[in-house]
Amino acid sequence: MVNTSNDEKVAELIQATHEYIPGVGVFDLDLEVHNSSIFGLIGPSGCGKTTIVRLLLGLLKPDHGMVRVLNTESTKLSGRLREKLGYLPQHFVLYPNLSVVENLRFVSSLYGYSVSKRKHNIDEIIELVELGEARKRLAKDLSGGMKRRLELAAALLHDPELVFADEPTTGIDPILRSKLWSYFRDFRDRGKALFITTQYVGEANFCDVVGVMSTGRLLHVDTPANLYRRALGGEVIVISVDISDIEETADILNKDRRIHKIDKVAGDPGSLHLTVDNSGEMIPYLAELFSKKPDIILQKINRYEPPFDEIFPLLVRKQEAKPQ
Amino acid sequence: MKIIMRLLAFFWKELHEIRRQPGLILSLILGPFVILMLFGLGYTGQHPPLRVDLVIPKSLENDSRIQQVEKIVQNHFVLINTYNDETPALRDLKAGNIDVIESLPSDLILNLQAQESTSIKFVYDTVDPQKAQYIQYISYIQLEEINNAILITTISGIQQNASQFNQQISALLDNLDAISSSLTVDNIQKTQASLQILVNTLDMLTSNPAYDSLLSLLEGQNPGYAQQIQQLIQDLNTLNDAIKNGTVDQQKQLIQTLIQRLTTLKNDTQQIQNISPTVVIAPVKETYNNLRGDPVDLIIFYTPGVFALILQHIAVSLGALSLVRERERGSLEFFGVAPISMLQVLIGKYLAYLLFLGIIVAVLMSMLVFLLHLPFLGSLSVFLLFTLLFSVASVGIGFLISVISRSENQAIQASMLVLLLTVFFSGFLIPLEYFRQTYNYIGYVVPMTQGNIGFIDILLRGEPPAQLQVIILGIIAAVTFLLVVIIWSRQFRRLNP
Repeated sequence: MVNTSNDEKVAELIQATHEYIPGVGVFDLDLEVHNSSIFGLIGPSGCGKTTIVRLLLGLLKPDHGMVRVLNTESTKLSGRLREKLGYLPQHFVLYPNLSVVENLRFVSSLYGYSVSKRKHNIDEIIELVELGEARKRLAKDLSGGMKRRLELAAALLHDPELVFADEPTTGIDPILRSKLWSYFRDFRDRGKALFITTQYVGEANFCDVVGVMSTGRLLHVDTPANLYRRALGGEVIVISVDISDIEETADILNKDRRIHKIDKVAGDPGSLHLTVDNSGEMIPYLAELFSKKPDIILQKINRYEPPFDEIFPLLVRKQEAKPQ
Repeated sequence: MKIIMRLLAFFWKELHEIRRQPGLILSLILGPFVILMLFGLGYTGQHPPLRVDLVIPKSLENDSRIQQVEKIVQNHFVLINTYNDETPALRDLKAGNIDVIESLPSDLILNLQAQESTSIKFVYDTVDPQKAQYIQYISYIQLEEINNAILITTISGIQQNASQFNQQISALLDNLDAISSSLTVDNIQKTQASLQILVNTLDMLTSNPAYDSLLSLLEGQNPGYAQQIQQLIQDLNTLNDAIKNGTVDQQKQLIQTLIQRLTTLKNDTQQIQNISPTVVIAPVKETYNNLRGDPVDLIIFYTPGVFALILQHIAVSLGALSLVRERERGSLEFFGVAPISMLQVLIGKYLAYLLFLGIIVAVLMSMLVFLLHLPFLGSLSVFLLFTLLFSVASVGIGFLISVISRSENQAIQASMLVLLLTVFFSGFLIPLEYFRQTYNYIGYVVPMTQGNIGFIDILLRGEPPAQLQVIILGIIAAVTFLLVVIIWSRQFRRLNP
C-alpha cells in the first residue's frame, strides 16, 4: 500500500468485492486512503468508480472482503462518525426549488448545526466557492458549474475529515475544473483526506495517490510518479540535437548501460527519448558528456513527462499482458 | 438539540419547496374545490320531469272521466302529445322526443262499471336502470292517484244514495212497526216490498269496491260491523221467507231485533253522509318532526365531505410524491451519508406536511364558514384534534404509496386510485348503506370514510365524532406509519436492498 504521508489511515478496502449480477461489479479491491492526501481513482466511465465510493460510504455492502472508514466497518458508521464525512455525489441531488442559502441551511441542519453557527459556516463556504452573488438564486436557475460548486459547498460545509467526491469535474469547463482542484488541494493542505473519482485521467497528476481502474478491478495503486515509471519502464529524458548529428548521438548513448531504451521521437527527427532509472542523476551526467564533444551541439535535455492520458492505456495494457 | 435541528431541517425544506410551487398548491387546493363547488351548485338532486305521450282510444275520447285522468297524468308527467293509437307515440319514443308512453285500455270505463280491474300500459325505452325505476315509481304514484280519484267518485256516489237508503230503512222501520202491532195483509205486503228494496240495496252496497273502505272506517267506531251487516241481511231474508211462508206471526222476536238493527243502521247511514270521501280513502295521514329542526341545505350537507376530500387528497398527493422524489433525485443517497436517521427524516417530513395541512385547514375552513356560511356547531378543540388525526392517517397513506412506488408516475397513479376509491366507497357520494355489508369494509382503508362522518358530526351536529371513527383513523395512522418505517428502513442507506 502507498502512504504518501505519515498520517493515519482513514479509509480502506481489503479484498472487497461487490457484484450486481454475476461478472458485473467490482472485484478484489485493496486500497488505503490516508489523511492529508488526495486519493484519485481514475478509469473510464462504467468501470466501477461510483460503486467503490458507495462501498466506502456504506451505501453498498461488500459481498466479500472488508470496507473500513474511520476505523469502522462502513455500513456500521455511527452518526458521530458520519459527521466527519463529506460527500459530493456525481449528480446534483440538492433541491432545485430552494435557493443556494436555503440548500446550505438544509444541509447544515442535517449535521445539527445551531442557527448561529450555521450562518457563520454558510457565509464562509459561500465565499470559498464564490457563490456570494448567487446566494439567493434558486438552485434550478444556477449554471452547471455553479451547481457543482454548490454541491461542493454542501460537502465541505461541516468541515469534514474525509470527503468523497464522485467525478466532481465531469462536464465542467477547464477553468472551473482548475478552481475545484485548487479547493481540493487547500483542503488536503489542512490535513484532510479526499477520495476523488474522475474519468479525466489527466487529473491523476493532481492527486497524491492514484488508483487505476478498468472493468471493475483496481490495476494499480501508486503515486503518479511511480505510475509513470511503471508505464514507461523508468524515467524518460528527452534530448535534442541537430538532425545531422542524431545517428552519432544515438551511437554514443547506446554504449551507456544505464540507458535502458532509446526511442526516436515521432515528428521531431532531432530528438530522442531515453529511458533511465534516475533522470536526476543522468541529466547532469549527459550534459557534461556532450559538452566534451564539440561536434555535437546539445540543444535541449530535460525530463519528459507525457500526459497521463498516454500513461493510462500503457498501464492497462501492461496489466493485461501480465499472466493471470 | 441536534435532533431538533435535523427535524427542523426537513420541516423548513419541505415548506420552502411547497411554497415555491404555487401551481402545485393551486391545483391541489383550488382544483378539487372548484370542481366540487361547481358540482354542488349544479346538482339539484332531482330527476328531470318525464315527457309523456298519452294514448286515448277513440271510444274514450269524449268521456268526461278521461279528462280527469288526463289532468292527473299532467300532475306527474309533461304531456307532449295525445294520440288515439300507439304508433305515432312509439315513433316519438324511438326519436327520443318523449320518455314514456301511457296507454289507456279501450275497455277502461266498461271494466270500471263492471267493477273489474283493468290496467294502464306504460312503455319506455331505456338502458338506465335508475331511469326505469323512476318511470315505474312515477307511474305507480300516478295510478294511486287515479285509483283514489275513482274511489272518491264512488264514495261520493254512495253518499249521494245514502239519503235514499235512509228513506228505505225508514220505510221498512215504519212497516215493521205496523206489522208488529197489526198483522194485516196490507201491512205484510208493504213490509215485504220495502224489505225487498232494502235487501237489494244492501247487496249492491256489499259488492261495491268502496264497501271495504267504508266498512273499515265504521269498524273503527263499532267493532264487528261486517258481521252485523251480514246478520242483518240474514235476518231480513229470514223475515222475507216467513212472509212468503205465512209464518210471519211466529217472527215477532225477529221483527223487534230487526227494528233495533235498522235503527242503528239508519243512524250510521246518517254518519256516512257526513264523512269526507278523502278520509275514507286515506284515513291516516303523516306528520313529521325533525329533532334537528330543518335539515341543512344540500350544498352545506356535502361541504364537510368536500373539506375532508380536499384535505385527504392534498395529504396523500404530497406524501406520495415526497419519498419517491427524494429517491429519484438521488437525495436519499445524500441523506444516507449524513448523520441523520431514517426516523428523523420521516418524522421531519410528517411535521412539515402536518403544518402545511394546518395552514390549508385554516384557509379552507375560513372560506367555507365565511363564504359558504357553513355552520360550525362543534368544539374547535375537538375539530382540531380530529383534523390532526385525519391528516396523520392521510399523510401516512401517501407515504406508504411513496415507499412502494418505483417512480413519481407510479406514485401519482396510485394517488389517483386512492381518490377514485374514496369517491366510490367512502360514502361521500353514494351512501355506504347502498353497498353490501362486506363491500363497506373497502372504504375503511381510506381516512375519508371516517372523516366524512366525523366532520359532519362536529360541524353540522355539534357533537364529537363517534369512538369508531377515531379508532379506525388511529389504526390507519399507526399501521401506515409502521409499514412506511419497515419498508423505508430497507431502502434507506441500502442502494441494493
